[in-house]
Amino acid sequence: MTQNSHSRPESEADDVARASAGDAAAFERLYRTHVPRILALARRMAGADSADELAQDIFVRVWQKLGSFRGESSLATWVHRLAVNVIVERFRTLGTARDRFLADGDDAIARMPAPTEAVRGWDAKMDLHVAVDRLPPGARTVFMLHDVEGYKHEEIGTLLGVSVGTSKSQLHRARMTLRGHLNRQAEA
Amino acid sequence: MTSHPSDALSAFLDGDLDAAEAATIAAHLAGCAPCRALAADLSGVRNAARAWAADTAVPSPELWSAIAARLTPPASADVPSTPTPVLAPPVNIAWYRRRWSFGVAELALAAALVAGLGVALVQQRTAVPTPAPGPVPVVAQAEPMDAPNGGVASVSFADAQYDAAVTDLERVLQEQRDRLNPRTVLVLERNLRIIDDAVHEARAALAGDPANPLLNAQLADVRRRKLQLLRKAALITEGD
Repeated sequence: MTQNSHSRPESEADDVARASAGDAAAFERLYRTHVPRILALARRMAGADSADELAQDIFVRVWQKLGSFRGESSLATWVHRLAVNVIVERFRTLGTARDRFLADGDDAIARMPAPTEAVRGWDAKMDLHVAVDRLPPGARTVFMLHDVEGYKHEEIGTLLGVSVGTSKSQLHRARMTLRGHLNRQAEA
Repeated sequence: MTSHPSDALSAFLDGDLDAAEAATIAAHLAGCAPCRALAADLSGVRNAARAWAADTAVPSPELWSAIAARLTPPASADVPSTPTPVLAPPVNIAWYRRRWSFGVAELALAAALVAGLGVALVQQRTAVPTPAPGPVPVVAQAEPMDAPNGGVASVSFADAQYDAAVTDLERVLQEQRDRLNPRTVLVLERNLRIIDDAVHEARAALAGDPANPLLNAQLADVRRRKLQLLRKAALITEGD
């Protein structure tokens, strides 16, 4: 058998409507459009080992919630927000967000370099991947949400169940640790 | 060290300080080279992170199959008003009473079952000791689907006989293709591809472990499901 030659491209809005009504083929088209960004999000927030399983959970949740999408933001933004919620929920199942913050301790601060004349010019993007993986969990999560995903401290506080002040201090802690790591990379 | 406002630099860069605090930090930076360097570094980290947000990743071919196997009708779906629902009804529905009502829904369910098996086969091949949480419930739904017929049986799964049966059914379907709803044909074709992929996966896994009883059973199951799907599709052409 061959593909139906009468098939035509569907707009994303059409596919949203069809998928909301249970059309799996339309949903697959939406999946194909959004999975590259969502899978990358899962990988950077949760690590490569968990990314595929998280992506499954995310798109199953998208399928379940698509009927509530009202078009007030782009679908990409809506899916991204939903994906972050799923990922944070996963974090909670592994240990509450608050516990993750408390577990961070002050090790990261202890490793902070003092303000000195910095050596710059590092390959920021490549080294950042390595350095972020080494961050304490709480600082890592806040850094990813704020600096990479663009969340505000108030939103992060709500998502993670921590105060705005905690979110701000964790972000600074993360940046300082990354800065120190990257400077050491550049000096090596 | 306490004279350096390093703890406030991130908030300063993000615009999270009030005007008076920001003015204080700005004045300090104007006269402190180390703090200016630190601020530049922190800004560099932030900018590098922003660039990271544009990254994309290529999904494995199995990812969609695993997701599709977990899709059930969304709560908001108006299934009764949809002329050709593409997802399976709840498995306890008495679908077997509607002899000629096989449609896209049943075919999609069959594909979902096979997709789940395909994922399970991949996991088996990679020696994961525990079953994946996703596919397992779906595979468990297979029994109600088989129950009405009491199994399709009567065809050996020895290659020659099986292949002949599949070939005959494919020929029937090809001849009757025009009698099917084009949308049904699309779903049928997609589902058959999924099944064929699952068969391929099973055979590949068995090539490395030919005596594995679980793999052999799963291969037989996948092939049986292909036969079921083809038979049901052939029934649709009769019914139409």
